Amino acid sequence: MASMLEFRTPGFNPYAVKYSPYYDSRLAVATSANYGIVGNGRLFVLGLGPAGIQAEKAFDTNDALYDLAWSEINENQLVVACGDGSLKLFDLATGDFPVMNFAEHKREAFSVCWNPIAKDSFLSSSWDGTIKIWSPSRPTSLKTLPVGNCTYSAAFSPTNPAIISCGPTLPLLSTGQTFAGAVPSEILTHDWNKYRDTVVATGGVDRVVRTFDIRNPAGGPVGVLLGHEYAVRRLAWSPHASDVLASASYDMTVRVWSDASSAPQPQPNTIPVGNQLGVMNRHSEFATGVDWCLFGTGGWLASAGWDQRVLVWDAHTLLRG
Amino acid sequence: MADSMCGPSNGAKNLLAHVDRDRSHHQDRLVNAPQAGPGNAFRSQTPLGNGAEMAFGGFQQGGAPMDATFGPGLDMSAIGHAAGGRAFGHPVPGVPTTMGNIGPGAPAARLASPATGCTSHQEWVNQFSGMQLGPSVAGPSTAMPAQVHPATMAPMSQAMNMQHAPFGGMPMYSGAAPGMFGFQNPTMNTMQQPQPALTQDNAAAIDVEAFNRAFGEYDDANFETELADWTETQKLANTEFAEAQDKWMAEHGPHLEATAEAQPPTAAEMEVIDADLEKLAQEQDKKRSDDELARAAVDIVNSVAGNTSDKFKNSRFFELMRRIGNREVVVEGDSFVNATTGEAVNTSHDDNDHDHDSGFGSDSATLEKSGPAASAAGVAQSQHA
Repeated sequence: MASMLEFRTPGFNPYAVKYSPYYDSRLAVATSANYGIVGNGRLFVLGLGPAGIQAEKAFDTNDALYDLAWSEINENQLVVACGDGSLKLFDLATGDFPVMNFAEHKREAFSVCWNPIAKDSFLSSSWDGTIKIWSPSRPTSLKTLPVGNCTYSAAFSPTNPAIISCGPTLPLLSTGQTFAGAVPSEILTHDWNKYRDTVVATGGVDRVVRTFDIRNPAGGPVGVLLGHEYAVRRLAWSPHASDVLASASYDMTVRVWSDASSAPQPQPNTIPVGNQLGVMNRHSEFATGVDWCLFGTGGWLASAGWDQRVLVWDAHTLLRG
Repeated sequence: MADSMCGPSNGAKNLLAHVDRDRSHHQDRLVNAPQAGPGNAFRSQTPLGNGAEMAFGGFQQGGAPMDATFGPGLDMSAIGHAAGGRAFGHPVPGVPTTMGNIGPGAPAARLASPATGCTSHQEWVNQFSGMQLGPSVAGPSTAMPAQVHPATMAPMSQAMNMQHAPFGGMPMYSGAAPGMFGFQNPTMNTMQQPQPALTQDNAAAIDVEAFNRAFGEYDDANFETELADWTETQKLANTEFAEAQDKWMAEHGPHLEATAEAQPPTAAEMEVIDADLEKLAQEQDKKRSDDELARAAVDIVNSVAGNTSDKFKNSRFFELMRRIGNREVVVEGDSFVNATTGEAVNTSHDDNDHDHDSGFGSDSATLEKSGPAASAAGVAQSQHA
């Protein structure tokens, strides 16, 4: 498939891939040796060019890397979540070592998210049951939010800098109010819709992707997306379409969906079911990361899997099918 | 009785221990326990077993008249009072008074010759019967000095059974009332064979002289050899046990090195000890984490056991998990190594290029084939567009 670009991360199994918010041709991959069970981690910064995908920079860490987030205020910086609980801020222009190290989590740090509005802060979630909010310029956390669970994912609302959501149970508001939507199983990943500021999509071990409206916590999901055969590991709403999202799963596929929001008004007391637009089936191990490119015509995706490959592809090739 | 409860033990060991210390006690404890009572087979060959229980059982049945008084575990003062108020409660030196089956004093028993040996039971019985019934037809059994002979005879007969009855209940009565026992005394029940004769001849006077003579003859002729035989047997048994015990202790008991050094360790030694302990803790930690990993790996593999797709069948991750679950692969430092060869396990996916192009991935939508020309550059451009 010529329209698919590939990059190998030999010896390292990707856990996350993210496009740079500054450049359409730059993306970063957080990887871990030995599937993150033992060994080191490596952060790849990749550039898309005429010769395909090239590694621009690689940072080695002593422990596995589980997630990464690009800085919103410095185009050269990005933060990673480490298996030893630390967070490391790397700068592409500065050597091989992190410019900042944030070591407060007691257990594996599993996700990081940069605040897209209040851009001088980011957050991390850890298996120690806390979410911490940080400033990139301060070595200690600004705030610690006890969640009490293994928090697999946490994210800022893209429209309100004070709202944080997190898994695995339910999104949490920074005001301390807990969103009480009914989710029957552990949430491994979730993402805020980029257009409808109250809509969150969740994916987890029950293989179902659900969308919620936080204005109606007790109302249950406003849509469900059925199709993954194993747990959903990563979700990403499209930056270009309000109803499109991509999901990466332990069933080794990446799927692109349209939620049911654009469908005509559903029957009362039924949960609308979204459409699967396409399946990208090229990964030969767990698909762990997926992200949309913010630029260009839209529809370009990067996905990463434990087959030690990063694939860049155009979702339109699926849609057109 | 504590002997039979504490630690590895056997009848032979206890028996010899008692023999070595105090013959009378030994015999006291060896009394007619296994004999169920009058009329039972004299010196019947009961299997070597739990001597204490058998002794108690024998006591219960054989000592019928005293049963009400002497229950198990009765202490000696009680025995003393029950036995006519005589001051038997004074403990004999070396004999714990709490041992309910040991009669205080036991003078009669002490008088007894340790007639041991069991090689010729029947012969002995015949001899005994003969010497009692034969020459002493006219002998008045009532004249028989109960203080000496019944008690003497009893231990003898008991001694024949001592292998079967390491712990006797006999002293409870034989020792408790020496001199009190007449022929009606249950003590005499231990002499089952002679008893009918004696009672028959009750009216006639027993020829004490003849009895003593016959008994002495027997003693002279057989006692020493029988005793020697018996002692030899017991020593052999005890040696075997001691050897087994020594062996067991060498394997499982506290080791000499541990006790050899009683001084507190020096700082340098402490450092070594600490390092050792730390190492031990780490090893245990590692083992625990290895176990957890193997368990988790098995769980992971099992969780997709029903999946028959080529992707999952050919997954290197699941292959690795299978091998970890089978303990073929273990964590060593920062990598996976083969448990047997110690070689690092290659988890790189680079060497199986064909896997990626072998058509696992068939996207649900047909992807337009672009020519090689429309490659990366085109992609980048399209994104810029």
